[in-house]
Amino acid sequence: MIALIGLAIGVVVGLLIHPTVPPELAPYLPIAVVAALDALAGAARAVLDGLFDDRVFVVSFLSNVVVASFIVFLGDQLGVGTQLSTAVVVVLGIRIFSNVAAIRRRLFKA
Amino acid sequence: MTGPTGRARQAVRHAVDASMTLLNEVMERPLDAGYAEAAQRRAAGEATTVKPGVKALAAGIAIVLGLAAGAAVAALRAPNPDASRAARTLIEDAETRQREVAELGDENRELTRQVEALEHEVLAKVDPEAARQASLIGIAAGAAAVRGPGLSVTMSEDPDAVEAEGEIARIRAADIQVVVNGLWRSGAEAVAVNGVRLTTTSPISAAGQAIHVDLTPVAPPYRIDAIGDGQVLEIKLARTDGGARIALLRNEFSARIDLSVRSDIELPAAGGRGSLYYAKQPESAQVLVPEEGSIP
Repeated sequence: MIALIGLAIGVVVGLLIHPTVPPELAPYLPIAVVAALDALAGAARAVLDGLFDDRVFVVSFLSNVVVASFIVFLGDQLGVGTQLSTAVVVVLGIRIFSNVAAIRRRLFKA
Repeated sequence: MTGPTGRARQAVRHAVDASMTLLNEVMERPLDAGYAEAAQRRAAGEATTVKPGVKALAAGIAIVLGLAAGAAVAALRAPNPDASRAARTLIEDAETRQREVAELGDENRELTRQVEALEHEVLAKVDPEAARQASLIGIAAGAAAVRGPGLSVTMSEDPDAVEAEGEIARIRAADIQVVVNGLWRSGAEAVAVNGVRLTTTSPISAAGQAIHVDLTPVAPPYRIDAIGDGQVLEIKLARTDGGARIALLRNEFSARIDLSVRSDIELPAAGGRGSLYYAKQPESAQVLVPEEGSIP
């Protein structure tokens, strides 16, 4: 739970103080944000399932973001950056949908 | 129970969508397996007490990750810095050039005034009568700055009408042309639009949405100053096409048009582009007069 609170604090601070993002990282930002959303949806579901674990959350969040960005980076180097970005977005998008659907089923029983 | 056993059924089902294993994996087990494993470990009584150090570390990393995510979102939401930088550069460039044009225009006017004064001085010494005539011609030609009583016509669009009727309710170059021509016809001795003095060769033209007077862009409200007897100008203008156009713009498009008789108007000399046009008497050509009796 403490990790979720920490993340919330970090997001608020990040939105308020607008730290400058190094321009080299700019191409990976959208994918990193989608990966972060996926980790968040997973965390929400885990909380509802009573399975939440701080360590797992932090590690999965970090690895999601890093791996997603790395795949895009690799794609850029190989000249298939857009296609790989699409692939990552599709997979993460499906996962977000499934997790949110599970949360919905649990909350509304529908 | 007849039919295939549970295990065989499962095998059949898997075989049917074997090509979809990847998607099935993603869709059926979207939750990170780590959560289940951690729960299992907890259930098994393994590492039930989390060390405070680990917790603090997790919180710290979470804050950093949140910060990065927040920064990423903020950076993605911010307008493209390159585009806005380019736009700013262009705007600055345009403003600098406009200032330069204004400065050069002022300098040009000042120099023109000096040249005129010197010309007048020299000519007055040599031939006072010619100097007097030259200044009269200067007024008509727009070469000299002038002042005197006159009439001001201020025209601006009604923003509501423009909103409602779009382009139709805008004041156009042709409207200004007609009013200016009406003023000339009513006996104006010198006319300027937004401070741009008109000569016999000054065009009032449309360039897209902008109106150019003597190739200088002018912006609304358009103010047409005419030197003459203000009251006479106002009365006569009403009888010309210009007056009719003013009435039309007022009534149909609710344009705001004010006519005011003023006792003192000052108009600058015309742009001073200094192109002189010479009229030359034909020397070689002679009018062909048919000789007497040559017509058959």
